[in-house]
Amino acid sequence: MTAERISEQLHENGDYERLANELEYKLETCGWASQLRDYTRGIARGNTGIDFKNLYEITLNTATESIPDTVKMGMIKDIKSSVLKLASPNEATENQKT
Amino acid sequence: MSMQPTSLAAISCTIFEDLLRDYTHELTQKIHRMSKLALQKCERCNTYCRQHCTKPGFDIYANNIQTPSSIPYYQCLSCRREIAASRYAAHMEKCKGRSLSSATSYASLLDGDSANDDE
Repeated sequence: MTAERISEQLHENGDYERLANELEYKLETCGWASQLRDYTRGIARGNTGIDFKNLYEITLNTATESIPDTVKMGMIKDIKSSVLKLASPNEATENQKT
Repeated sequence: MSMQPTSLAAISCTIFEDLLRDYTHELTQKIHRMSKLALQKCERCNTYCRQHCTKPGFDIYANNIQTPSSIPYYQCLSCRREIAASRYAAHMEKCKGRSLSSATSYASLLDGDSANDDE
């Protein structure tokens, strides 16, 4: 199973949206989201002529480097369970029971 | 079908990166849009109404923030003292035991004043 196929299936069964909402909730709760917003706003105000693509690249690099490890690990754990459910639903339920 | 642990970790990381990318994209879009709109004149009011004021001593709409030196003062109808607007209601409640909420007492204040004026 390829990553693209798995991603498609996660979209189809609604797990992708659930994971996206969960990520947003975690980032807002820990305050990281507001810090990223302030940072991005500062860059946009400092460079009034900046285009979206450059602003997005800068913001994405900063986000990738600064995202809290606890959030990242928690999300990867949830993603793994969702992916396991797709790959082998029977094994996933057995793992949950144990 | 069983999944190798290394592939599972790699796929999970890829999906996490996609989630973070989507989140960052949406956040950047909103902020970029707001910053661009702030530079444009509003078509309705023909002012830069989206451009928030950042000057010290002013709120985001460029209105004066009330400081102790800028609060207006009004004369108390009872004791004739100059009272700050923010403290006027509290003062009237205590001033000679009279309350603003009591229409009778306020009316009597005005009657008392007009009687004094006649004298």
